[in-house]
Amino acid sequence: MGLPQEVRQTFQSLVNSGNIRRVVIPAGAVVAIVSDGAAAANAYAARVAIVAAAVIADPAWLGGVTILQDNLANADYADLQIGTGTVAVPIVDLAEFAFYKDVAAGAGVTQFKQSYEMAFPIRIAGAPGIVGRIRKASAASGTGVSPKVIFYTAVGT
Amino acid sequence: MMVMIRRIFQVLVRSDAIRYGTFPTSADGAAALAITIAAAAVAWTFGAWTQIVVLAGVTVETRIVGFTLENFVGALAQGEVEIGTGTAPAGTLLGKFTIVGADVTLPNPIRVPAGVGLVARYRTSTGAADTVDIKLKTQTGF
Repeated sequence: MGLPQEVRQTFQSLVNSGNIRRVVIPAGAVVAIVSDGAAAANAYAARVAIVAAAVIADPAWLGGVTILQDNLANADYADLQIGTGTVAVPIVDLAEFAFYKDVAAGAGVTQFKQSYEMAFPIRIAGAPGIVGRIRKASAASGTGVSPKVIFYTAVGT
Repeated sequence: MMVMIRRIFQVLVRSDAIRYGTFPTSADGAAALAITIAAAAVAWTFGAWTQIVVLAGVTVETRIVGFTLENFVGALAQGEVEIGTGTAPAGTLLGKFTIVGADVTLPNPIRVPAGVGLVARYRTSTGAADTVDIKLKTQTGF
């Protein structure tokens, strides 16, 4: 790809962006990504499949996550990691998102962060499956989040 | 100019190599546990710089895009966090942030080169040695 085409695609992604679309997966019910009880505090639990291969577009750009359900204990803190592949084959880990249920009352800060929009979406080729996993400050099992994953398509076209 | 245009294209469109992460990592000890930073027991006085990422722990060019604060201890009527480069107890300021929420995203990410350590410190209005835990949000692959 030559420089003129790269400049044109940059223009299309920034200015003439009429083809860009935003989607979320899974299309239906969210998938719970919870700790498995075997992972120690701040160690990642097993990955959970969010969608199978050939569900997202090829290519697609990972743009963020929206957390629809969060059943962490109050004052528990965690990272959600999104990757490509399936739970049974090698994974490419793409992005970590720090989140929490609540913070200590004395802090005067009680906002619950529900949506993360990535300033620079990550391009994913080949329509692989999408997986997620969490690690959190407590070792309690069976708690976590249920996210929708945000994707963009037709960036630069 | 060509290099600049190519990097903009890589960031916006051909962005396969971009990764979002957090500091500290497991390489910094305590299995990626958030780092506790403490205010001095004097109002509006920073505590010591505290290591978040060990020296040379930033292995590639990295953009600091924000941070999260966890486990506030203390009344914290008002508070500020500073993030810098270096090896504790020394630090060189990158940014000062007044706390208005537990999740902070920078509108203009701060680029740091590979091969530096990262530190943070904390002060509050209370006059007590308040503490809070911090994680940095990062981007790589630019």
